[in-house]
Amino acid sequence: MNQKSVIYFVSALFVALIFTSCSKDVPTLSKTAVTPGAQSLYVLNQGTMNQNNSTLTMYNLADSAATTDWFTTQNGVGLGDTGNDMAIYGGKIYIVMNVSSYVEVTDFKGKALKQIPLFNGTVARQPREIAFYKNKVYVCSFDSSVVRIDTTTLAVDGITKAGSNPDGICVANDKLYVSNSGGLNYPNYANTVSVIDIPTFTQTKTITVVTNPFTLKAGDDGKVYLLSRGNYGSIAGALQQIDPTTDAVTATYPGSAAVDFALDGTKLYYCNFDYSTMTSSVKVMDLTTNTATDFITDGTAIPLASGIAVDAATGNVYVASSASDYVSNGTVYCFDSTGKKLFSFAAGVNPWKMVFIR
Amino acid sequence: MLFFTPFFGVVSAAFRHGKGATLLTLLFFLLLSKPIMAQRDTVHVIPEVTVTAMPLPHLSNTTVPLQTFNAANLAAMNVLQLSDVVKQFAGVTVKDYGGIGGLKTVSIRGLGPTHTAVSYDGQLMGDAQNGEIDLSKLSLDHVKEISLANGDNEDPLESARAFASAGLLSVVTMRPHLDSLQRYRAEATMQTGSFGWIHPSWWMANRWSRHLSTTLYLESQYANGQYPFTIHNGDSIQHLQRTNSDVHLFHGEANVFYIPDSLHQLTAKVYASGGARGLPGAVIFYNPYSAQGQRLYDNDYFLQARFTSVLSKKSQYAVSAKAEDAITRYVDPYFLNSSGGLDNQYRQQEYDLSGSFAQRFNQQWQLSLASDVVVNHLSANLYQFAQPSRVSSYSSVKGRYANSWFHAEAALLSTFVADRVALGNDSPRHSRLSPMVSVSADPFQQLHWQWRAFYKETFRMPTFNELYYTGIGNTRLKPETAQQWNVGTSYWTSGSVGYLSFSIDGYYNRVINKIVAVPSGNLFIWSMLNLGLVSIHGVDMSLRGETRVANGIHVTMEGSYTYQSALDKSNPQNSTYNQQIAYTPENSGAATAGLLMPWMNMSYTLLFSGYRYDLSHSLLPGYSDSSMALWRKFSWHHTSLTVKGEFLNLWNEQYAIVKNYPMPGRSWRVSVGIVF
Repeated sequence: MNQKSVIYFVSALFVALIFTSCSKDVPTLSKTAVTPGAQSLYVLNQGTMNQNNSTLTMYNLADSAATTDWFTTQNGVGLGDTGNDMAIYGGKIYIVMNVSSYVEVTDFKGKALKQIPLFNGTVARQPREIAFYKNKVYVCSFDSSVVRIDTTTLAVDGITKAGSNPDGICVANDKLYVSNSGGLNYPNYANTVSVIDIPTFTQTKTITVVTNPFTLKAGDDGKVYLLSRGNYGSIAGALQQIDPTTDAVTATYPGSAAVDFALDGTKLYYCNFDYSTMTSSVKVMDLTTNTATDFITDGTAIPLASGIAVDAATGNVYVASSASDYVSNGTVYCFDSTGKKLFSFAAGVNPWKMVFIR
Repeated sequence: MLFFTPFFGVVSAAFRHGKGATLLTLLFFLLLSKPIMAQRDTVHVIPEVTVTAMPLPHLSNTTVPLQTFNAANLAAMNVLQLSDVVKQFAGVTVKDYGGIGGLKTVSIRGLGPTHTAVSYDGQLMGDAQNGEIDLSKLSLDHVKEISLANGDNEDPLESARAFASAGLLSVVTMRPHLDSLQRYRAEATMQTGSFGWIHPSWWMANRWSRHLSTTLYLESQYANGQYPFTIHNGDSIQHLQRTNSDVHLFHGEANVFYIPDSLHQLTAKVYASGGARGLPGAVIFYNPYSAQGQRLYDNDYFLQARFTSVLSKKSQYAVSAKAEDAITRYVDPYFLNSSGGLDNQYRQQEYDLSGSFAQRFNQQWQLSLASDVVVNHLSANLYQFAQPSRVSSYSSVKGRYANSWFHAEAALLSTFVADRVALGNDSPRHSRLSPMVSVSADPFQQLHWQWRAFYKETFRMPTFNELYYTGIGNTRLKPETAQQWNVGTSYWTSGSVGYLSFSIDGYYNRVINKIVAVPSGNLFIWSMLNLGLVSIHGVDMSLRGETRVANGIHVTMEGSYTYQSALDKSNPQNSTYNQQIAYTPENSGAATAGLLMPWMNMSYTLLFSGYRYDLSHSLLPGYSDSSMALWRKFSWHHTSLTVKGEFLNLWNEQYAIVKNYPMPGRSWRVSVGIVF
């Protein structure tokens, strides 16, 4: 990082303290809360399947130091196989481990607090994504289940059923939205989102969406945003908007095939890797006008975009990229809100989800 | 069996029959007067010699590196499976997923397993679906010889298809050596050992007439495969047990040998094998139930026949045919799809028709022509599966020049491959010319010090899985090319106290358009691309010797060492650029020492490998694996009893060749065999 970008970055951090924003994890309709500046950034690296090489990379924003396998540094053991989601709630970090089939709970230093195994008898549930609501944790798994975990006991206290191979979950309008990917039913992917009533913890309806849906996020506008992968053939992946008051799809954004997206106020950032051209792209869409433009303005090329996150305090955008061979260590790039690269650092194998420690 | 010189090893009991005395004299003269290569090049007017004489073991005088273990070497080895023998060759990397039923593939000199062909009794084993042969399918019992040739095996009647691969691993089984006094010979063996290992086998050879004899071999293998292992997770060590790794295998084959006269020979084989095995998969941290449910069932049947004829002192030909039907079924009842599990069934059929002809013009010049037509078909119960068929034609022409001290060969192979699919797009047709040149010289003929060099270019077609596997395959894949340059020298000396031989080869190889799998979309969906370029240079060394220390007491030793720098040159942007490719150690080797005594035989075998990288370019530690065996043979007239006890992985080294696929620790095995 050169001196200019350090100055720029530090001032951006400072400015961020003044600006107001709202975090992904506690959605509110108005931007009144002040998001404190992040001290560090955690990156969950998926690893490669069956290699037990999923890692948690810690990037210290104060001294620009990255520790690739921070979890092992802190705990003496590894995370296990295929980390798929990570989120912060109630002063703890929750890490969803897909093939190892458990949820790891750590403190902000990455020290393990509890491992919550997710098995149906002897069959791994294969958890995928996580959401939170009123001191409960909700985890959707490939085995169609949504489990409820109490945040004080950190034990499973309820299980319900969604559709085929759930691959995304969020809370909006006091309801759970779970995407049913059917991802293990190639080529017969599913195309629904289950709506689950939280008090009764049962599915009340399904919404038809673009084929093979996965990540779901609730926006600051109260809407649900959904990303689908398509069928890797005739049906392209797309971003969609669902209105949780009517549970109807209210927008399907054209040309929005993506591998991940992130929300920041009225901005929706999404990144993609196009296999036909072998190029990555990062776009930003203004949700007030629904127009998308290229985000990166300084010509920085991302090898293989895999994940994206926005620091609500600074508006800085972090883009995770796999190595071009998918099996060696990837990189995380940080851009300012105008799309100019500030810095980058080495993460683990197939970096993907990112959270900010404030 | 009798020893007739310490160095030429054993000559089989066949010489006891009628023509034995003459043949023995001829053979003796032949072996002592000329280097062995000369013998190999001569059109054999006495074909029995090739059948029964053991050439100088392991390091013969050839223009290409050729390593051999014969039956006597194999008897003195303490190995569990055929793949363990192959691990002792120089320049070889066996990728072993552990356990008896675990996949074992062989890669020669960093080229990858798809560039190695495996022949079983002279006919290539095919697997158009995966392109690599699982060595765990081959039995070690009744194997007469295992050899590994880089480049060319120098048989003037070699099939064009065998010549088409970068390296050839040949497994040759025992032939009957019977006469009118002994019309049959049978061997029953029972073996048992750790992890529930039970292995009964039966071999029988019958002589039906002067011209016709047969062998029958039946074996069954069973093991529960539940071995303990330790695995490191960060700073902690976990003690676990392998589960779902049971093996049930049956293998039976019958061979017919029809030798109407000394000029003609017809051999045929009927082969059937069936197996069921658990697939324990990778050890997954925190998931104690990852090894359950997944099973593989396979049934393999083939029929092969080969006819060879010597037309004159100058020409000979061979014709062979093979038909194979192989069914594989993979089940995973815990796969989380809506139909409640996976049940994938694959059926491969292969037909191979082959002919070769060799003509000698004079003492120096010889020409060989060979041609193969191979038809492959794969059907599967996968959704929208292409059901591909492939016709491959191979034609080779080889010219050889040899005089008493110099030998040169030039060969050209023409290959044409066309695929047809029932659904979707065909892969484009491929037509290639592949050259080879080799020279060798034996300038100091009395010194047995030979020099050699060769260049060979080969390619391998993308496999059916790489091209057509539903959702993964890429029909636009190009073939993968392998180029090999080799220089080497070998030396041997022998005397009344024993023999010693030494061989060293240096090589440079390139793999161009290497086919690699990359995830597309997410980690569950992978795709195939021609992304790779690998540049390999290395050194192979072998040493072998035997000495008589006292009357009836022999000490044998053999060792191999491999240095291999196999660098990924694919993409300067990758962090693995210019780094050693996965699962290829820079340093590896093997050594065996044997003590052969009238009252007891002992041997000690050591395998070692330096560090390697796994697929994510993290280091896997090196390892060494030692084993020892004690055995004795008791004989009464025509009956003999062999008792053998073995300790495998004697020092209980905990290691994995493939990350998260642990190898078994210390185990034992006892076998009793009776021959009558």
